[in-house]
Amino acid sequence: MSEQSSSPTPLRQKPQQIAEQQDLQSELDRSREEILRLRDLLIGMENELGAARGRLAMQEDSRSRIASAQAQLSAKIPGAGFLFGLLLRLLRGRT
Amino acid sequence: MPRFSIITPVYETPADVLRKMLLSVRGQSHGDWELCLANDASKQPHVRGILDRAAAAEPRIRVEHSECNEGIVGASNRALAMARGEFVALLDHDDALHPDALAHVSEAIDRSPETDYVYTDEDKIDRQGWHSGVFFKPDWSPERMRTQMYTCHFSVFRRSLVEEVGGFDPEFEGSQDWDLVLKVTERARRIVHVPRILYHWRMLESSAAGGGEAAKPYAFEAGKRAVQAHCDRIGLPAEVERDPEEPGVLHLQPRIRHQPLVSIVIPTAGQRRDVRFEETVLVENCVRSIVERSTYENYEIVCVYGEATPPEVIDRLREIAGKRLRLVLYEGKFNFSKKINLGALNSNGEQLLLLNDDIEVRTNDWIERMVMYADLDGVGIVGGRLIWSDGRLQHVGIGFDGGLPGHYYRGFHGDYRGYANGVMIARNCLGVTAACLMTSKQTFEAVGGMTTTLPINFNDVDFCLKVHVSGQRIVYDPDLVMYHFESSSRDPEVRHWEIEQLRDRWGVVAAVDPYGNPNLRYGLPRIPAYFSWTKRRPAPMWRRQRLRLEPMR
Repeated sequence: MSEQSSSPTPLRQKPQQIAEQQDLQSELDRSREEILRLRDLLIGMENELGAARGRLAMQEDSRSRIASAQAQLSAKIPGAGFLFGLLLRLLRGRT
Repeated sequence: MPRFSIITPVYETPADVLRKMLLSVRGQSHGDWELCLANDASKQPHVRGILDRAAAAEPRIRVEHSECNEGIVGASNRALAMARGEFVALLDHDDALHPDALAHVSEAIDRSPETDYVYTDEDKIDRQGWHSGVFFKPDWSPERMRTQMYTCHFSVFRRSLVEEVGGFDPEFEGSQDWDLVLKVTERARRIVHVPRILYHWRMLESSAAGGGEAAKPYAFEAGKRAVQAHCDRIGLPAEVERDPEEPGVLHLQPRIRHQPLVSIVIPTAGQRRDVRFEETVLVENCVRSIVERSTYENYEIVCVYGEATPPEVIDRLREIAGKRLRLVLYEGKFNFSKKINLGALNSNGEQLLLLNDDIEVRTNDWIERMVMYADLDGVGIVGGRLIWSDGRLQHVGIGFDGGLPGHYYRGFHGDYRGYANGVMIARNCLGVTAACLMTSKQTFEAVGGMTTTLPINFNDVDFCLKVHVSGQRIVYDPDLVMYHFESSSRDPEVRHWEIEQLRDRWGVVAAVDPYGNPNLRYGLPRIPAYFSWTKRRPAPMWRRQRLRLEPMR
């Protein structure tokens, strides 16, 4: 009986413990918010990266098409591929 | 060989371009033509002078001068009334024809005499004669025609059919040609595309080619009305809207009147992966997005799950989808085709919507959009635009080059509009991915479902080609956008035997992609194609002498 009366009930907490728990909870909430903020930031950066990769893919595609045309031209007229490449480099230099 | 009546309404045309237009007609290598010119009360005196002198020098040129200005439709109808040829060809007063334009069209008609409408590729030309803006077009694509006036120049119609539909309609002034093409093609027996640049559209400040919307703002509104009238005529339940950025592009918004039961078949293994930096069970994410975002009401979800699928995933799916969910257990080694066939077998819907579990719904009216097209006569499959989570394009239709399939613009920037707005317009293609496609159950069963000997790759391409050879069209809808966290559920590697099997089955059919163009590769021009307008047969010397027109006095 005495043991029972002296042991703390699980529902009854000291004010200090309650304050600690509240602090922990608010810390957890802040961490969650920070995770969400960082995640949003990551998503935004992923989209930016996607846009850059998309542009790169478009340029890669153009490059491969030009290279293919250059190879076709070289196969038909020897030396034409070199001249074509030279012309492209000149044009790039101007722009 | 048919006789061509070239009809040309003329109004205040600059002298140099008017002469060039006349010269381009007189220089035709095909001789059986007449040029019907309707001068729409031009105030500048040189117009009458040039036209009269041309008519006096060439008996095949006939001119009518009007005292009052009737507008483009009135003048076009007057020129049409002058026509006596079996076919009428439309030529604008400031444009030019390739010397072999009529010869190539004539050849095409000779090859298939039931042809009622022929169109060709075109480019733009400036006042100095520099060519640019080459437009390589696909073969006849009805869905594309509803969102873009792509056939445009050079258009040649069977005259009897043009008269049957009442000629040019004044209600659509400025887009009377779009309206005419829609009306004629609704009745045409055969439509032929000649993949050659046979028309040069001159860019002047006053023309739509040079000035865009500012030159003829009323024309784009008229185009929208013409397509709306066409949709109403053929019973396509859609409202036509203009693209906010591109004046020549239209969008169809679904206005469906009935909602057939749609069975969404999702094969899954209950896999997890990071989606937007958060670990996600893909199928849960997919089903949740369907339930939360779809505005369509009459659908069921048939989940075909493998033995390895965790039971807690099944429980959560039940929680998310409730009574709409139907679970089908698939036993055996992974075979996408078998899973889809099993799902189709266990579905009750009139329409089947095949969906990968790594898809997330973005467009709320996605099912309405698919039903709008799927209900249309002649349409077998509908697909949409799929993007990766970082916004890049993953799928905007499948094209063929050298008999092998490939995705148009895969990995390109999400805002990329495509060659000739190919990403932004509805169009037909030879295939769409089974990651998200709708087909009727009847069509699915008629072609024998998915081919089970292609368990991983190309089963969707194979299915689309089966539907294509059955005479039905495959539609890409640009306004149906979904996220696709691709290849998270299977090995993305394509095996040699899969390519060989596809070649064996479809090598002949897919050798030429009717929705591509010999000058395009997966939707983009080949480099030599930019110079294709130079491929012309020069007229013999004696003929060049004869073609020289008198200088203006």
